[in-house]
Amino acid sequence: MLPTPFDPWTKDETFTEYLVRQGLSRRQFLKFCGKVALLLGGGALLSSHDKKAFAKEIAERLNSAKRPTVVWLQLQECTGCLESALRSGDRTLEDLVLSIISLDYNELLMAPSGDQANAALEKASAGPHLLVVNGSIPTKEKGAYCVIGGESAEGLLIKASRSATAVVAIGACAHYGCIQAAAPNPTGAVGVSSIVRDRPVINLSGCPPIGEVITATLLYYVIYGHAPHVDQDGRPLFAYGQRIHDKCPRRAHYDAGQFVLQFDDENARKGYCLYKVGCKGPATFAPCAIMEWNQGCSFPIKSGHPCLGCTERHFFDRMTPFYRRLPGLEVPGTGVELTTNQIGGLAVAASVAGVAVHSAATVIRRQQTHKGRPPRPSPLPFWETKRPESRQIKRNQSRPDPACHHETS
Amino acid sequence: MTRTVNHQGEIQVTLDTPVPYGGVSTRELTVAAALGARAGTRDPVDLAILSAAAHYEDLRHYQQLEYAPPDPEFCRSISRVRHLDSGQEQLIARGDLDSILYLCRAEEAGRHRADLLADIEEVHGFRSVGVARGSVSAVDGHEEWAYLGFIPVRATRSPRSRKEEPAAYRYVPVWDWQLRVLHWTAVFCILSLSLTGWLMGSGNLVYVTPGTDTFYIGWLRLAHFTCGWLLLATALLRIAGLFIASTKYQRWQALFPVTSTDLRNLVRVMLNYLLCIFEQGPHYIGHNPLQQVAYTGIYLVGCAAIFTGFSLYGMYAPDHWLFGHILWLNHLIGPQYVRIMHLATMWIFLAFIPIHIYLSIRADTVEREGAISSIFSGGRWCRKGTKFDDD
Repeated sequence: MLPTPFDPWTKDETFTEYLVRQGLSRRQFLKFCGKVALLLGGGALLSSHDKKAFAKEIAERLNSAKRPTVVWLQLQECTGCLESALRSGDRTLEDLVLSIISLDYNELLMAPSGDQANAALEKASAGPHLLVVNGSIPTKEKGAYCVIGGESAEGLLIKASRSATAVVAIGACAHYGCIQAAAPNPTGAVGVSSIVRDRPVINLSGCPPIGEVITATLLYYVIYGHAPHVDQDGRPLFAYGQRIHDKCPRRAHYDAGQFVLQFDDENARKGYCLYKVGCKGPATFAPCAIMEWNQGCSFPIKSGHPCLGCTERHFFDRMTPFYRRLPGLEVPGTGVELTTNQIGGLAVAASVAGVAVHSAATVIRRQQTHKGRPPRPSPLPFWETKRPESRQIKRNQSRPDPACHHETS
Repeated sequence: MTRTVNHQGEIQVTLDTPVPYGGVSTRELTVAAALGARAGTRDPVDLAILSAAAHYEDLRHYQQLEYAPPDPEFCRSISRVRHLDSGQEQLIARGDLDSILYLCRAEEAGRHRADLLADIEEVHGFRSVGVARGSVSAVDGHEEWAYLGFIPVRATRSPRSRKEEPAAYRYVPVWDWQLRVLHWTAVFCILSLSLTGWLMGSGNLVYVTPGTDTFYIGWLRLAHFTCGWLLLATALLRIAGLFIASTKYQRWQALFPVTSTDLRNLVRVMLNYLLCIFEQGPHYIGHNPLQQVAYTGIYLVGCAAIFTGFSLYGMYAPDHWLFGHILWLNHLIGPQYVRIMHLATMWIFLAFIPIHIYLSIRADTVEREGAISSIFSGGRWCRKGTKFDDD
């Protein structure tokens, strides 16, 4: 069934006609559609009935799909994403994707070079096309940090995106700038969505993203003609809708409170949860735990390494340190790093100490305040028979009784 | 014991058993005491004594010839009465016991005994009305006085009129029961959330024996989330209470010091706390300006705790109809720093609690402002004449 790149899908025929010309059986075609349905429904946990319906829908839509033109730019990046897309393992699927799209311009894969390559880019960019971008766009020094064919990355991207129907930013670099955008970001690297603001940008984050996610997104576009549903960060929900933590094969150990404390300890050999050695799975939205890497071979957590959170924005700044639970906070001016718990413990200690000092000061102050006053009268002992003063004074009066005068009147 | 209530029903006069002296009978003492009253008196004590004497003798057979009201120096009155049937005249002196005893030239032992008996009555709240009878010698006009005894009298106000009585303190309801329930619910929630949050966040104190099947963190999460929802409910009810609470000390006007008086008092209160001055300074029935700032601040910390908590909780479903809209902070600073904020709110609460308890107890014991007791009872006793700036 393998369609060779030298016998591509031509502009005028439908996808089914193309497959028939390639000698593909209907059974093989439907198997392919089912696989795509599984991929796109990866996060959605479709029931078996839904999957069948979904696969049927994909088959129907593919029947009538026309071959889209694709421009695939590679800007400030390491080529890892394209390697991931090409070498994700399932050759049939990837070859099919590359065959059903008309990859008119890509620095790495295309045959032409020089003026011919530039001409191909201009020609493809003129009409409606799907723009795929790898790599970030350096904005400092007028884009001097990445110049291709005499054109800065920014200019190239703007030119290519002018008549693009949708833009797919592949990899963390195209998403937000990845490592080169980490503080202090010397080249001023930004993601595609910071440059292209007038049309939808689908971010396939990850360093690199899983190959199947790339091909599934491109297929979604071929099938539906529009972008898939995305989250707040522009990532397709079918792949980035759930956390690794919630799909992790080691989750039961987390819930049980069984943690790896060091990489070579007994708990690590038992395959316990990597939470305490800095796993960022609880903060990372990625399909790694579902699709896994390299033909479903494995993924970092499964093979005993904590997740670095590479699909999250600015993971190099925000997910570090990679092997600790939470980052410490530097005390300004000292270079001393304290954890939040240390700072909080100090705050509580200061609070208790402050209470102790203030209450002691209150006691001292009170004694000082009462010093100048007359002492309180001490209560009389109960056997004291002294009369109240008023009575005694009256009894000792020696004046003549005025009642006598009253009597004589 | 005789008991008489006057006509207005306000003052209740109680006579204890009369204490006659020597061979004098109770009857003689009581009648003499009644004859000592001014004719036509409306005095409650006189009425009580007259009513007691009416049991023994018809006082209409006596005529009052003269009456000298009590003067402030000797505290006794003297009346001259004549028995109409026999035409016999007698003098009755009535008043302060010591004064009467002096009048009678009583001997030391008799005086001492009468004083002791009067002291015993005084323990029960009775004051003694001494009674003496005198006669004038026809030969030289010399007065001869004989001490008859005393009648213990107690005057009390009826409970009904006592309620309207002007007193030194008045009771002011400050925190209604709804607010107190919210306060103690929040205390429970914050302590539980701190404990469970710290245990599951740090992963400390986890002693799971290998091979056993536990759900330790799972239960901690359940407890934490339950208390979190409860705290959210208390916060929402408190916000509603800012507008509908029964006393003004818990409505939104009491959140911040706004007026110039309040702002000046804020500085004064801060200086008072700093320099340990506790006998002067502004008085507030509700929160003083510094407390207003502090408690509004802790409300904001509580709101931050709830918001960051639900930002982390909501990550389980970023496309949720509700949680989908509160995850913007996660996108802004990253979930790890939201966790640090959440952890920091816990430490702020834990550092706040000792100061809060200390100052509340101090307000009761040193400043006499009744703060810790009012969160239990709901109100406080305010000294009358004190000027309260939020009254």
